[in-house]
Amino acid sequence: MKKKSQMEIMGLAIIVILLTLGLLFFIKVIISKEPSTSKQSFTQTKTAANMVDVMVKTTTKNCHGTEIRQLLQDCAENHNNPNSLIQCENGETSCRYVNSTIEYLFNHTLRETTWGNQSFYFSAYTDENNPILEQGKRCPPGSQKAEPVYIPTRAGNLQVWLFLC
Amino acid sequence: MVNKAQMRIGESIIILFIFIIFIAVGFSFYSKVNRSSFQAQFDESATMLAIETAQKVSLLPELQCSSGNIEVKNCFDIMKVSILAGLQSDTEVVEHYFDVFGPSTITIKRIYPESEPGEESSWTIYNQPPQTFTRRIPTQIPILLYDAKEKSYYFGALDVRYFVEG
Repeated sequence: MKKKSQMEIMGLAIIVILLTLGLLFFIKVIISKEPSTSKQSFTQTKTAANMVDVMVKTTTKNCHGTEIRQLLQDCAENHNNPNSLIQCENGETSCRYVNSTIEYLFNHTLRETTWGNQSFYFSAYTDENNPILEQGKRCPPGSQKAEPVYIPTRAGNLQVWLFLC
Repeated sequence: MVNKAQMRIGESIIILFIFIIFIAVGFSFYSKVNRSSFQAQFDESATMLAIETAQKVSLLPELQCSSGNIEVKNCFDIMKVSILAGLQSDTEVVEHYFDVFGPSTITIKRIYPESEPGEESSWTIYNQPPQTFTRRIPTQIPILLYDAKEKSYYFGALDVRYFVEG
């Protein structure tokens, strides 16, 4: 009788061990199942890094053949004195022109579905609290960002940032 | 007595049956996990190949633009791009690039300023999709396009579509 009950306890113990092992395996599989982020990370880094760099070197369509960099520079130096701003061929000042051009670029890239309709925050400033240009909405802390492009101006270094959220 | 023995046999059969069910469920779960982890590894390696292709294109020396013998970063010369796009019917050229880019389609697009009517705004420099594929991995990278005639830099995009063959 004593032997029989010992056997039964052994059987129960084996079942408990097997169930515990199964449960541990299940938990391990669930925890280690992380989605692949290599492409997203590469694309975000490359896009953020190239976007601003390429943008500032782009020649404008109808603003005396200037580059976006020059218009940003002019806007940073003279935005408090609108009469001194560069007047583009369509009658817009450098600040307005550069703002609408940058918006056009984002509308045709990051905001497009083929680019993943990515949310972003773009800003250009010499004083962080008073940016001369802003596009998109601020991202939560820790978002992917590009190295800023620095443009020297008489009003100080203009920093151009793009954050991909 | 016979009844008791029959009960015991029935009990053993039920325990065996439950045990077999446990093993079957465990095995099916294990094989499912194994299959999905193999699929994940396959997807990851296809993604890495797509990234590799995009990087190769963005660093292609044949298309880079230079200013005073100094290479301009992230810049493609429109004239060189246009010539390469025109060579797509040359099998020797296609074979050469197939070793580099594999099953993919590579297009360079002009985004800003918008092109005038009659002007080209998109160049397919490589187009070798496989006949059947299970997945297409697109990658877009902003680039500069240099127009030597106008001496202007345009804003463009490099569009690489990598195909995962079935």
